[in-house]
Amino acid sequence: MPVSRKSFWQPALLPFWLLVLLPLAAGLCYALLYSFGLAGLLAEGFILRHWGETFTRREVWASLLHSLRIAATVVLFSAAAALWLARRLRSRLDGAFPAAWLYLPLVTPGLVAAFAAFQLLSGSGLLARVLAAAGLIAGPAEMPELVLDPWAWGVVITHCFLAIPFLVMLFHQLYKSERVEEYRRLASSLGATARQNLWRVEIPLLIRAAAGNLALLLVLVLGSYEVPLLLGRQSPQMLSVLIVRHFSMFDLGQKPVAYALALLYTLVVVLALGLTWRRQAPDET
Amino acid sequence: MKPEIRRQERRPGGFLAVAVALACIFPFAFLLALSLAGPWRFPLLLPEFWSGARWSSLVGDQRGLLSSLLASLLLSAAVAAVATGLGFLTSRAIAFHARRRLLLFLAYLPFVFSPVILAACLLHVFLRLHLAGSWLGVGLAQLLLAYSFAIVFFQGFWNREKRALGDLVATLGGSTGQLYRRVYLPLGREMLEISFFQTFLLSFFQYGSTVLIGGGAVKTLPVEVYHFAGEADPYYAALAGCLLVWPPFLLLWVNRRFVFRAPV
Repeated sequence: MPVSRKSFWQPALLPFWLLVLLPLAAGLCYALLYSFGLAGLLAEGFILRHWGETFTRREVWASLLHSLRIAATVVLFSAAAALWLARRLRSRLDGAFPAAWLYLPLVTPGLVAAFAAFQLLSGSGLLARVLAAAGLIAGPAEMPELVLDPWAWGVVITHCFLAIPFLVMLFHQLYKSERVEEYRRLASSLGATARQNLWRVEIPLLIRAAAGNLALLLVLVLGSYEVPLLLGRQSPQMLSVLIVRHFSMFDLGQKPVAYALALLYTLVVVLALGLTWRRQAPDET
Repeated sequence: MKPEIRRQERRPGGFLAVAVALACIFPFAFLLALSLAGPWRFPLLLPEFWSGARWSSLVGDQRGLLSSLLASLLLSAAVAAVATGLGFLTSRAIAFHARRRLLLFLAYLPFVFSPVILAACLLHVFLRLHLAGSWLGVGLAQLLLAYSFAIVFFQGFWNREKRALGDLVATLGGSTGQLYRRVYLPLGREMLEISFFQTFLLSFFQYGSTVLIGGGAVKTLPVEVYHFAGEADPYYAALAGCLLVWPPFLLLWVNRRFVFRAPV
């Protein structure tokens, strides 16, 4: 009955190896071999051409920067809005209202959120109709571009809608677990102003405690697919959309590039996760 | 009580709370309205008339939405049951393992990966195993994500107290079966329910990996939403979207502790 602490082959770990790690390792190895020309229908021996092609393509760098910009914007906007809401609604978030309502976006798939955003924000969407009824625009053409736009505002807004409720609840929990109120009172008794309290006590404490979750949010948005698929432009595309597009092309010559891109994304995720991991304290067991 | 005293006791942020609640519910109310709408051309603020015809058409399953809903529910329930059961067992082995941090890092990987990129890398493996284009293949691809999530989720459960309880049962001569049946499962019941709900959602909402691994042969509800949205049929896409979001809403309403642990 006592669990062996050292064996990697104990029965309870076998499904983990078979169902998770083995397929994951096999898939990534195949992608690596394919990207070096060592696997697949067009295998021609070890070559670096596909990687060279990946790194020299303008659309790849544009996609990477576009994805990073969107992910960073979502994290910044969501964190700022969530902090503001968590502070303003602090006395109410322990009750059923509006806390229970905040969970609705949390049980919403990105695909449905993106579809609703399209119907609300597009040129002929509900917002445009309201603006037209108010006499602010004359027709769909005058509606500011919020979907399929170069700045991907629709993608950012949709991700923020999905992320803010989670962050509000996170910051609300952190207010208690990090004893922010006590530190605030201490700072006040030492003569700190409300502004100093906010910028030097509350925000640093909360952001430091939430850094791991914010990094994970950045990685999740970076790899999001459904939302930019429905609301994003053809060029530049977010990484996931670009990879799947190259992967699904009839031209088999595009597949190695898709695999190289997928591996590049894997590297970014592993690095981000590794950095977040290092920040965590050693475990107790 | 004097009015000024009552005003002082009133909690701040009432208007903001109402605004937040409305902002959270509005997109779903709008989806429901769209699914019930007749022709709704620009610049009309409301549709020309309301009709339940699309919802009635579900009964005859003319567009295949009801069968997609049932298949998605079954698939997700199966994935959630397996992921939760295996995740509970594996997370214990990882929590008490000498290389806990390494194993937990590996468990985090599929969970933070983009499912669609993961599916793109896995597709060849699934093709070789003749799993691509089948419900089993889609289920296994979803299980990979859900199982990893469950392992990470249960780490909080396996603390020193649970370990001491395990040692105590072993000292008293209890078997592994008894330990789980009499100690761990009753203690972890609430977390098991939450894990089932969350892994169910992970599977129920999955689109990217389903499309790639399913190859068009597996039509889950998210696939139908995208299909209708892509066909420029917003009314049926809204109907499919409602079918996708309302079951989790109802589950959440029935039992808020699935994600809401504070007293309500």
